[in-house]
Amino acid sequence: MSTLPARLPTLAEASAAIAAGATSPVILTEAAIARAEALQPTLSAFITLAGDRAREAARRAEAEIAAGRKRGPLHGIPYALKDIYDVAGLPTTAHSRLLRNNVAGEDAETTARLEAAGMILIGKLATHEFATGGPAWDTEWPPALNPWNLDHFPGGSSSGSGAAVAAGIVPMALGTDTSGSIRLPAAYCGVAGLKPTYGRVSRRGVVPLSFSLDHCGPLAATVQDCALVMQALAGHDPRDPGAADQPVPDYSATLKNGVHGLRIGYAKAFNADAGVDAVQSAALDEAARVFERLGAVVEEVALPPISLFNACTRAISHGESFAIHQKDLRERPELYARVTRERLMMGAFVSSTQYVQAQRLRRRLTEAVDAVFEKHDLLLTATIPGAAPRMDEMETGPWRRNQQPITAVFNVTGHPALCQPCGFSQNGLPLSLQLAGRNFDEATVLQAGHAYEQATPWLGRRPPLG
Amino acid sequence: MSEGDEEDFRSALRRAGITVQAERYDVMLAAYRDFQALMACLDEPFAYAVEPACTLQLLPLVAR
Amino acid sequence: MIPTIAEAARQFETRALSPVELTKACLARIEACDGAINAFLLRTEERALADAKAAEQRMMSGARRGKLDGIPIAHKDIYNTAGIRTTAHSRLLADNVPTQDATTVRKLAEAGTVMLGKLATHEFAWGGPSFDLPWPPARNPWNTDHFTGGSSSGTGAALAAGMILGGTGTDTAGSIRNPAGLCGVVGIKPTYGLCSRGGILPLAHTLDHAGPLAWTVEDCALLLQAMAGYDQADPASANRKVPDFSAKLGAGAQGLRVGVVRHFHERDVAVSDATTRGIEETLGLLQGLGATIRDVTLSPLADYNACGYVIMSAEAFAIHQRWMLTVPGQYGALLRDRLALGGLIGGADYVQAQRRRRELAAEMKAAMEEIDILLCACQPGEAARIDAAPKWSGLETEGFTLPFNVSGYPAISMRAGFGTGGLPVSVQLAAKPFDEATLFQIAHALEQASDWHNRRPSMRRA
Repeated sequence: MSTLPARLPTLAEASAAIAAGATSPVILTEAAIARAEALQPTLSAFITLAGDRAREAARRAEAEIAAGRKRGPLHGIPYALKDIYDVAGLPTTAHSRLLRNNVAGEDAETTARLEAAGMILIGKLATHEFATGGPAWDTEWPPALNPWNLDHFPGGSSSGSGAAVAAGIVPMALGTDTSGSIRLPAAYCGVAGLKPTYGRVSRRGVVPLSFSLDHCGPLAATVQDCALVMQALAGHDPRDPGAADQPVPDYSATLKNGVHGLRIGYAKAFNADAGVDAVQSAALDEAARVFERLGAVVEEVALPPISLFNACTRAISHGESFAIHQKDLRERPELYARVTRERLMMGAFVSSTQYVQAQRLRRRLTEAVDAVFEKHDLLLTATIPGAAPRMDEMETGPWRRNQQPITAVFNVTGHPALCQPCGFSQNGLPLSLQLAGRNFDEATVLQAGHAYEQATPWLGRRPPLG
Repeated sequence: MSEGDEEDFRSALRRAGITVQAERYDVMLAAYRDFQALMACLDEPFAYAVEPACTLQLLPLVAR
Repeated sequence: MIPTIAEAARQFETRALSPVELTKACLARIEACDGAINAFLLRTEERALADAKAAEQRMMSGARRGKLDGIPIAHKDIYNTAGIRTTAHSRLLADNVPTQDATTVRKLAEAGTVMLGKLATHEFAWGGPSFDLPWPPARNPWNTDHFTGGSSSGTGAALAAGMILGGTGTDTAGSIRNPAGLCGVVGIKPTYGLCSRGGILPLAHTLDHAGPLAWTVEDCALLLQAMAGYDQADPASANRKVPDFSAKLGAGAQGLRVGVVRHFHERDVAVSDATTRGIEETLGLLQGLGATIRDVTLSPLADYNACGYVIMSAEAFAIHQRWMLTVPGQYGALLRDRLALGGLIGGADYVQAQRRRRELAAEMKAAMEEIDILLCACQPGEAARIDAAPKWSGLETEGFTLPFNVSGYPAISMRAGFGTGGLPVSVQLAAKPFDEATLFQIAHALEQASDWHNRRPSMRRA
């Protein structure tokens, strides 16, 4: 094997380099394609590589920029999409045999927004089948692996997104998040991942899993990059029934304002309730101290028991995903991977009463979290107990007893939540914190995340891929 | 667990029209029981006024 | 003769009538008639007289609050009233005394209305007419052997019998429009989110609407004006400015574009001859008024009905689950059976119904792009005998009202003539979301163009 092509720079770095004439869309795109191809046998991050399409888009971007028609800071920078986002003319497989021949006729709203911003799509990324069943070895494509340690899980379901960004193939990839599917791969792969407020980013043209919990958002090397791409993604889409018609602020304008005077609620007891151990808890304590040193006021806060959030998430997500998949589960169940099939089948056990009660419980839980946000600007929690488990220790049955993510809290409530690295486990795998904010206040979440990132060394740590 | 819940399990599958492979039956039944145990907290009484969240918004609730 | 709200307001202004006189007349009428009608579960005479005196004093001192000041009304007994028993017509809440008024009760009181009491409903707004409850069901003043329609039965009956000038109702599948239509009065189910449901006992959260019933369209507009508006206590409440609902009363119907959903009553569900005649006469009146008429096709009524019925049953069971598991015997048989059916609905069925609902709402939106008003049947015919009302109400035959609960669009039920045995028949008009003003405009024009509203029940047993 020849020397591995170099990592891509971050979005912000790439943007500055293009502006300075130090690099170009074609150079960046070729680098991304080369690295993607070189790492594919190792990481299996991609389902589809769209090299020719990318090269053409890069040439076009380069010409536009040369002609003085630069579209903005994202113009000419490569990215990739979880393979449940539609791109006109490309297959959307959802990592499933059921959609093997499904070619999209139209761009997803988010795809269209990134294309309009001039970004260059490199390819479509591995996921768990239909964003739920994984990791699985009995589908057409292998599961993505964790660049930090190939024996370990990269998190899911935006597995390829986490792996590709952590491996430096693309500076940014989109994922989707129904109970943590952006933030868990971000956490396990040691990158930043943002689940925006429910309704902030359109989901039109993205294969649904559970429409009242589904969110679209970015994974990127840095918090600043998340802010840059959110500027392009955020906004109302009348064709997404869950979309919110709310003004979009300038995320970069406040990014560097620091955390001085911000009030951060630290849900330490809640973390323990969720199964966070002493080592990880110490890392979060240290993160809380960092925020304090930076001038924030950190106070411990209480949240409702995690079991209530879990019940709520399970009843709703199983109920809704079953409604989508029932016909295929009846008529061609063999086409699903076993783990997908069995997890989707759980929806058969949800009664309408359980679903409705879960939605009622959801309102109460949301009110409880909103009450925290009355006195605090941000909420600090863990992301999930522990670092990435080994692939061969993953639960692949219909019901996960362990590995319950804390992320689902904010799918239930809809609040924006950012995950980013906050240290490393004893075996050298990334640990992550989660910062949540008030509805539609991604700006403060990103601002605090950026301040933390600047004050800590985690950003400099790279997976040992060469 | 009671015998009755296995009957519930089977009738839920029958109603949904889906089939569990024989070798996966016990796994699915165990998952069914785990699921119902988790759902037990939904039995607590809610005040009448506790409205479901995230019900469909068919109409714009906020004027532009 | 009890005046309409608008008439009474004018008479208050000229001092031809006082709120106390009017209230006493209403109380006397209740005393005389309600033994046969059973519209009231509770009369609040002292409260009514106190309210009336207060209104009268405001008028004397030049502090009149508006056209509703001093107007006697009553509330469906699922509206919470502070310190006043609120039973939902159920044994389960026979001793329930709320500490707070429902938001709409408070708003109507603040507008100066006089509260005469609490009105009969179906048990928890769904189970009725039932004869195994602590109170009998209300009866139709046009013929007391007949059903009022429900579930705002007492409101429809009390209005038709001239015991109240206005009243509140709730509408989950037609519970304002059905008693309005079958009792020959006017009732509007406003846009979802326009009137707060805060402090009203829910039946099915995502289908429940609060709204008024009255003798005339104008009176409904006046009552709705007081009831509408944003309320934080109702998660579905719309945070919008409330327009003047009376602004276009008297503007006629010239140029209004009306779409008729003929297939609802010509193909989907059979209606009585009088109902067909009422629809055709209404269309004739509209043409005479200068409205343009065209046919509109929506999904079959069965689709709207299946979607709405599944959602209603599932949500209702979720609310009643605890009591259904612990004290099912406390319910009347009818509600218990209807709720039990809701307990059998699977989660996926409910979710599918909500997904279908979105498609149906989109279909209605598209259908209304080039028209202002939809017109369709409201009930299949004249009120049935009270002992022959349908058990499942929605399963035997589809209802015409549910489509607008499914979509959330505003819909009004108004008279369209009289049928067998002199019982009233009605039509239903619907408008675009939050366009109640146009709905009132056209309904008012129609009412003025006919004389159906001049006929009152004779209050004699047929």
